[in-house]
Amino acid sequence: MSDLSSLLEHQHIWRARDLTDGQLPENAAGIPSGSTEFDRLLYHRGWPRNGLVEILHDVYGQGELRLLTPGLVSLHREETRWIAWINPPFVPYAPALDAWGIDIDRVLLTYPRSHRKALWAIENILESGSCGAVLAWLDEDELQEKHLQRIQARARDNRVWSTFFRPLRAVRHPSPAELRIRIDTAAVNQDTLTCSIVKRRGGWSIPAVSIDLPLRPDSISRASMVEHWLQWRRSDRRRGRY
Amino acid sequence: MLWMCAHLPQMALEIRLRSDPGAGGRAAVLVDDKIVCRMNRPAQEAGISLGVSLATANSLVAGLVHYSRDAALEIHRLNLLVSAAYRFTPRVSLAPPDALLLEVQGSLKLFGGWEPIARALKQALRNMGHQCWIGVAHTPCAAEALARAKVPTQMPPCPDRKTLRHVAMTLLRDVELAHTELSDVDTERLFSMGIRSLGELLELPRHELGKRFGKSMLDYLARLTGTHPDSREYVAPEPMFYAVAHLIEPVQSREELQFPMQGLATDLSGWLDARGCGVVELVWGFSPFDATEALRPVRFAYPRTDANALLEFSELTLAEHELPAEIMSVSLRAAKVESLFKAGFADRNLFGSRSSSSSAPNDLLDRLTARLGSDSLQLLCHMNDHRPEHAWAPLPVRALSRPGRRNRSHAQPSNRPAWLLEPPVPVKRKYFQLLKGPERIQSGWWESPLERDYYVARHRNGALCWLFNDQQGWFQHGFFS
Repeated sequence: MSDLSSLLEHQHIWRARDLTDGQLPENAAGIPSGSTEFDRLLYHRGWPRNGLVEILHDVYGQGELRLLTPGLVSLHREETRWIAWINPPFVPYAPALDAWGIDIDRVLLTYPRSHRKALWAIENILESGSCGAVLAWLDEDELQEKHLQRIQARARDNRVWSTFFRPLRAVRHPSPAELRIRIDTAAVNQDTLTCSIVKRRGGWSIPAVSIDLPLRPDSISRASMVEHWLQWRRSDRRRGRY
Repeated sequence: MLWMCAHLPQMALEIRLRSDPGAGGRAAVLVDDKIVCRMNRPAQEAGISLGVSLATANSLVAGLVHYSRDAALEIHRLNLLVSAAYRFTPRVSLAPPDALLLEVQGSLKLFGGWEPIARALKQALRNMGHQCWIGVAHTPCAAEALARAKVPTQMPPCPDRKTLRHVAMTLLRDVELAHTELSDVDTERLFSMGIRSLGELLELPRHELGKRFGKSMLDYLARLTGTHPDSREYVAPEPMFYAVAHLIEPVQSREELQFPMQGLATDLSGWLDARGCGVVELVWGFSPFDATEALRPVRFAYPRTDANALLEFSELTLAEHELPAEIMSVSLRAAKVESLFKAGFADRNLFGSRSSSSSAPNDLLDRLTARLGSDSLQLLCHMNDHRPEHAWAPLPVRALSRPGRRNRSHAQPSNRPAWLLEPPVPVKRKYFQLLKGPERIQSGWWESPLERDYYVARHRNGALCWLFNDQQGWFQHGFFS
């Protein structure tokens, strides 16, 4: 009984109080998701640095990647680790990633030919310590709960933010993921995304969360345009045009 | 001139033992014309001596392993070992069947004397699986005689000509004639005359010796003492690594293959070390008894030298492939080699810490490449092109080791979709609601002319898509995810 206080410090134990009074567990700050309202809903005040996240959606083009982008960008700025993409359904378009601020020199695309190999690859990537985030699209028919458990454990031990993209029907199955987000088809606006948090650590599920997701990273591009223009003017001046 | 001789007395047997997994720890002998000419320690302990017949040896030890001598194999091995010696001096020559000669006068200052060279040479040869004896003298013949006689060398680190000659001649006095180049017949005759060591031989008057034993002996003695010049042909190491391990019995299981593969990988590692190179692509060959060799290439993301890593990634690759059922020999060839220093992958940088110039996850990339195949991995590259499908390019992982792969482009419009459909998919216009556009993209007249109006559109199901319209109709080119 004397160990109650040490028990409470265990990283797998949380108290409902933590969530309501807004206090963070020590050194557990998440990766900022770019939206403070959304951050406030998450246990780590951001994307979990170590653990499995599931994004559930059936339709591509609803903003499922833009939801993650600010987090990926800040991860790339913070550290030198890479981002691994396992079996992306389409070509991740380099100019777009570049415009968002993801360092495409640190992006690894992997296309394992079978489910077993994909799991093997993810496990190796998680354990290698050279990737900070993993985005994976796996074969839903072959994906079992024990696979998810294994990957969740590996991701937690190796501090890798792992995100799985799964179809909506996966909602019915339990999952060991830290966070499950369902993207709602019905309410899609061009620059906002409506989703439901199906499962989160340290709290109940929340329906209908809307997040601002500008379609084009305008703030970035405007800044870089000004910079380009200044550069261009400087080089012109050197050539003696002015 | 300071000559160093590395004599590898057991080389002929060592090369056979290292490719035979079944011989571990057992008594083994090498026979030349049914006479034992080399043996290992267990054989010696069992009472076998050199020069006995194979039948006698077999009667002494039950389960004796024996190999017949193969001169071609030994010469090939000796040529391979040149690479280990070549890092100390460019003047390396062969002294068949089992010795290397190095002229190291020019390298003494760099290495701080002959002793560090001898020590490093011994270590390099030990890494490749051989034990050796070193002899140092003023002539190649004298160095070889000292090495063969296993005379411990006592010499100042950088001796001048006089000291070198004096010390070498003193040491040579006690060398038995059996260790010299004199023929067996001459040695026998001298022995019956009561002359057993070189010192005794050298004291005899030359003129009379020449009359009795012929000119060749005088010539040898002159080269030995240095009164006649002894020119040697210097050899350069093989430009590419190729080695074969012949197995005594056909191997059927992968576990048994480990042993010869380990040996070959160690050899390659030693060869690479000596050249300051890393291997980027190597090819394993597995020859079955009655079919052609099965070749299995293994590629690495960056130049590698470590034998264990070579073996680990090779095994991952081989696990994915079928191997012939009964393998008689395993070969290893370095197909592509890159200089470590040129590629900037030297293990340690100037300050002794592991260089971290590239944060590339090389080990991970190699492991994934080995298991999944190199076509399963891609890196992204941003190209400077206006046409959407040419504005990016997939890069093979191997491109990582090439410096300057970055192809930065500027002034790309920012409203590009995250997913690109390759190739564009024809769609029906009525399912989409156009939101933004058109953006005219017109370019590429030099290869495939392009004239498209791009729109941001929403599909009925809510997906934001990137459509274009050209002469052939409506196409979807991406998703704004």
